[in-house]
Amino acid sequence: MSAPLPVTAGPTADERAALARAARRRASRTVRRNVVAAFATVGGWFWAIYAVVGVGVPLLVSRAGGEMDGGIFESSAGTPRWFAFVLGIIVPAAALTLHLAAGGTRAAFSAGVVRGAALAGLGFGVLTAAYVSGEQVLYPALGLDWGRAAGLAAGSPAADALLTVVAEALAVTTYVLCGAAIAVGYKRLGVWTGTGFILPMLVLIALTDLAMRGGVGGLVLSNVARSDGIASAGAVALGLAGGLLALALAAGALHLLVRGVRLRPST
Amino acid sequence: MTTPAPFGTRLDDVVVRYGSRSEVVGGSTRVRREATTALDGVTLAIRPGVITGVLGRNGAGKSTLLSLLAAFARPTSGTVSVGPEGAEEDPWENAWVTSNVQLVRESGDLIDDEKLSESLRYYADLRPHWDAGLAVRLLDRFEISTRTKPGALSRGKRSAVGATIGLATRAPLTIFDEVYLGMDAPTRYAFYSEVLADYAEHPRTILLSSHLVEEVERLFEDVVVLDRGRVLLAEPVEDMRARGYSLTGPAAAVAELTGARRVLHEQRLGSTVQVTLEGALGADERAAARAAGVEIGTVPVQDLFVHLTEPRKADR
Repeated sequence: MSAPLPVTAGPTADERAALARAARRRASRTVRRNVVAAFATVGGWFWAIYAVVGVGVPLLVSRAGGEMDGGIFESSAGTPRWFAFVLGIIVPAAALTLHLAAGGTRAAFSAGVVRGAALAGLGFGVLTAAYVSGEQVLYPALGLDWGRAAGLAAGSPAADALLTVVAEALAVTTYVLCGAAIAVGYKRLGVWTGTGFILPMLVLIALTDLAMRGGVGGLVLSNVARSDGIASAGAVALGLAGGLLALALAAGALHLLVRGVRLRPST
Repeated sequence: MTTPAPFGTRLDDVVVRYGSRSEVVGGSTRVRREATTALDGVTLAIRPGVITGVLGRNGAGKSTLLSLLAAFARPTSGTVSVGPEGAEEDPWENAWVTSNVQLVRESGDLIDDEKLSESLRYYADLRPHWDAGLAVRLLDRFEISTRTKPGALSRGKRSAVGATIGLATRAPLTIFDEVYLGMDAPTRYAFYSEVLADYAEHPRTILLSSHLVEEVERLFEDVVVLDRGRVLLAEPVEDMRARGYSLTGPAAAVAELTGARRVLHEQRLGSTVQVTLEGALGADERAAARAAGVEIGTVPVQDLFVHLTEPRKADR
């Protein structure tokens, strides 16, 4: 057995504050890394399969001499968003107990989830824009019709792609945060109240869909209004503002729920 | 290389209630009341830099008390403070405190469906004093692969992972809440010797909650006994040992020496009787006992704990 190591004096108040900041940063970074890693791995598989289907279906239809009414992306009504929503339910909730047991705070957890969701959202936004651009090139090349009724539009292909990245990033981040809030809601509020909490989260999802004319809400709206997306700058700005509002509300709901989570003794 | 200052803890009039129940008052008015009182006015100080045993029967409030120190939960009322002597702070959402307090629960706090290495990486990232070398050595000693998923581990192996995390974290306040569950005897003894060795090299505050009192009492310097949500005693283990003694001998002689003292336990075998008594014997009484052929014995901490927390008839 070695001799005991010398014990340091306790830190001063300033040192404690600095150590607390460092601990919060470390914890938040770890949560963010976990969320991003899960989305990169599982989301990567999702996009690979989605791309294969997205290319394979029009190829088969074209060879068979058939016709398609619009692209896979629009007709599948925001499938990547719902996939992100499900990952949002699973991934953060699985790490919450471990995070608290490892000495992280609840505030660091919600901050890390929001940052991780934003990065995952950005990744999904870029992939969505790339996918939609690919459809836009592929369909005419195969002699198939392609058009977009839903979504925000800016008028030029490049601006449309950029707008798709931004709108999808906002929407996917909101979907992930709503999923995470639902999972934490069950932990914090119990089965009955937790189930009741799903409704306001679905309202936020509907808000993001309707504001930015995407997902199921966007598809429904475009069918009702029979318009080809929003092209005026004012309407685009309003749509993005609505998307930002939904995101902020989802982040706020998650933070409020997480900050009161208690781990009950298991014995 | 240095060791961070060990943490002490202080609880003042802490009450913890869980859940709620519906109750009819005044014939028709229905009100909601707290259902279970886990801690009932607990006031307690735990010295920094010692190993303290936290004892109590099932449901006495041990796990609740320990979860307050690690900010897993908040008291319904009262205050909790944790930190080095003179710098104690409320642990709730206090990143400096929580990053320096490790509570290892018997359930283990791991991600079940990912490799153990992922959970260990999480602890390593968050814990400022994490010793990766020690974690590897202990897992090797307990024959656990980091490629295994925690969900596939036996209860004993899972407990050994918890023990490894508790030691490798090197937190100034390390709490083991019944981590021995499912461990076989050799693993438990290996754990106890690792605790002692690491504690000697890296002095810190260790709280050990266990029902296997006989096995772990040799580790304790202080002991806290909880009984139905209240602190029955909190003192150095030597003081607890001095709280009782046994007399063994002829029934009449033992009865005379017992007098009006509180009998914690009594056992008869023919004309010989053994009683466990509360308190301590004076020099005169010791001499009288020897003269009467009565043997004076010490009482193990486990027996004292059992007798002191025995529900009294009036309480039943």
